[in-house]
Amino acid sequence: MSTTLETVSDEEDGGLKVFDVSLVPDEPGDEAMYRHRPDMWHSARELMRRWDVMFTLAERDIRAQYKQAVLGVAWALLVPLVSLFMLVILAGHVQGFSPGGHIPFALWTYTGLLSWGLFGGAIGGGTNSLVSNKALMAKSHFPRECFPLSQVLESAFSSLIATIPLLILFAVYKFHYPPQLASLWSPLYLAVEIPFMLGLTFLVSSVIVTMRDLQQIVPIMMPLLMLITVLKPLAVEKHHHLVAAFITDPALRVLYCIANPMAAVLSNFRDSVLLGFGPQWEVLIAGAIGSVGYLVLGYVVFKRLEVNFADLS
Amino acid sequence: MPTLAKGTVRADHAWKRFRADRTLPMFQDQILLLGRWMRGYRRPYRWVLRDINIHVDPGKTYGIIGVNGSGKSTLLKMICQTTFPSAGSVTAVGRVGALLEVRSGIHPDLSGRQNVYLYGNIMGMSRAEVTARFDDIIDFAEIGDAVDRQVKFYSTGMAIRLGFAIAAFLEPDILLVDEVLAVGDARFQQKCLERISQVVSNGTTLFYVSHDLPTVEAVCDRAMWLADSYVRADGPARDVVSLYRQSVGEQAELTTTQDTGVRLLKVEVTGPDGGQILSGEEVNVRIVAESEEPMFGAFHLGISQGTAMPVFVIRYASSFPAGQFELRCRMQSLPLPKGRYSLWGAMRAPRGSDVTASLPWQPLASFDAFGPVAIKAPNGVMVLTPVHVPTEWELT
Repeated sequence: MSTTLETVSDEEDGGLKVFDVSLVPDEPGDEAMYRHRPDMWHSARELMRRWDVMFTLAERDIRAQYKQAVLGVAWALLVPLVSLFMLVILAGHVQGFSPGGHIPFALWTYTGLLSWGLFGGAIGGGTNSLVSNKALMAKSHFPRECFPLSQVLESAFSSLIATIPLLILFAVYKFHYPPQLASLWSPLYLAVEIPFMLGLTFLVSSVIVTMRDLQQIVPIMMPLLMLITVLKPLAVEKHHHLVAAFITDPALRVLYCIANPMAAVLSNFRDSVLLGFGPQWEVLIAGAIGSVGYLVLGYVVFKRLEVNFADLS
Repeated sequence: MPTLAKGTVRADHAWKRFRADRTLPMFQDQILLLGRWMRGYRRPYRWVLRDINIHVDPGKTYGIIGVNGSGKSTLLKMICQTTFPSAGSVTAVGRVGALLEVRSGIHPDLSGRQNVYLYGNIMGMSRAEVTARFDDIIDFAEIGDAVDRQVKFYSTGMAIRLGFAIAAFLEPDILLVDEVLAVGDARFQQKCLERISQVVSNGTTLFYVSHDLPTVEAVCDRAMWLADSYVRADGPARDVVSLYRQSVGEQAELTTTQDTGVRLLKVEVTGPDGGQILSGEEVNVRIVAESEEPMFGAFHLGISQGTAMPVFVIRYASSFPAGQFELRCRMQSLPLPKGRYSLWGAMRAPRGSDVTASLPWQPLASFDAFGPVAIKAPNGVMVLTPVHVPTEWELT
């Protein structure tokens, strides 16, 4: 399609070309339209290649976050402790509420909070990670996944610090309730938690770009989900055995764990660390299935919506 | 497709559109839209770039000019690969350094030092590579010991200097510069232009967007003129810029109003003996105008090249009678090289007087001057306005 009117002079690069705009069609042909078909393998490879950007962004956020705070990184210790304090007060008003059996409520709850914190922190930070990094996004071309992923890293950093109060709590109870050998199962639980966390962060951060309603919904939903997940254990100890609790119907239990993999992860983690039980496979596997499902869904949605990020955020 | 050399930029029939209404409708509107969508309604789009073709080889400099809203910045964003073309393709090979808006991408809570490393890393450089260039960046930005201060406490100038230095010293294969130099002071502008020509001579491809036409002419080999999403012209920067200037002048002539008491009846610009206008020769201007009341004031004349900003201004203060009058002006020697120029004029009463009749600054006529072609300044040096200076050289 040539729309050149005249060529004034002939230089090495080609001379001045003046175009007649009336010869340009109103719209490009339908076959020329860009259709976003993200290539997942290519994206994953590109992400691996620019792995370091994720760390740089996480480092930037951690530095910026604590830069002007008087207490600095100590906030990473204080925030979970304050949550714990709130839950202790809340539970104190409910007669005979001791879902943890013989384990002290504070210790029992904090173990749950620690497991939740990694997930909750990632979602909380990840939701706005694309919207608030508009300037950086307009400036450079690197995998957009780095933004939510850097928030996951940041949450991992905070969670690492948040293990210190747990150790202190063990000491406060004079190691009458020491961490059990079954704690060594934790990496497995983490492996179930991570895909869920990544998937949901991808999902929420990308959808929020076009649908800002989530900015209101997420901060309301997360504490609710936390209360249910932390205070409603899937199993309680009776006579040195774990007995199903909360949802006892097996089919519903599996469905619940698929929908909320954190319930499976958190319950298992707590029962292993404090009570010394191994994994409850049927719950954990349901959780793992749900978790991977969330990752696939989240990543597909993220890559689909990626086209709009720079224009709409 | 053959692999392209680093620094190559290509756009192949690239189009870009945005939603005509950028805000997302509320829930009830969504439901209405869904109903209309099923009946075949599609929400309207606004094309912001149409059929863009660019082919720039490594180490070349390319300017993009046009009025506000013509799509220049969107085009840069597509080259930066941060936004997708709606149709066609845009390819940029290699590392892209972008200086798109002041302070963009500079994190206000981090120190200058941390920002340098952050941006270097995002551009794909290792820590060691950034360290090797760190001192140059800080030197150029002239921020001295403020390097460990948070950027939000920087002055605007410091932040811009830092932003420019980061983008220009991290040795990108392609450097995108969008209208940021206008913010800095004159000395810094010149320094940036020098740095840009240095970067270009090291083989970086430059895309330069500016309303400041002299810098475009100074910096760019080739240019593109965008007008309302269309490419109007593409070619050697000087030709494109002069074409653009001409159009700006014509636009101004169309939009000025004349309803202010003084009416222009005739404006003539002629050379010696009523003939062609020649560089260094005399020029005669004859203005016939009419006023309903007698006036006391100054008649200003200026000659410009495509903008409202004249190369020079001359004036004649007097009292003008009511009714028709004729004003003649003879310039003894026209100090302009070959080109197309506009004659602008205004009539102003002195401040404080109760005379209300006036003539706003407006183009009166345009003319072609013949003579020697303006000499092009060395690359990276901008000439504000072309002036013809008769010279004699001697080398002994």
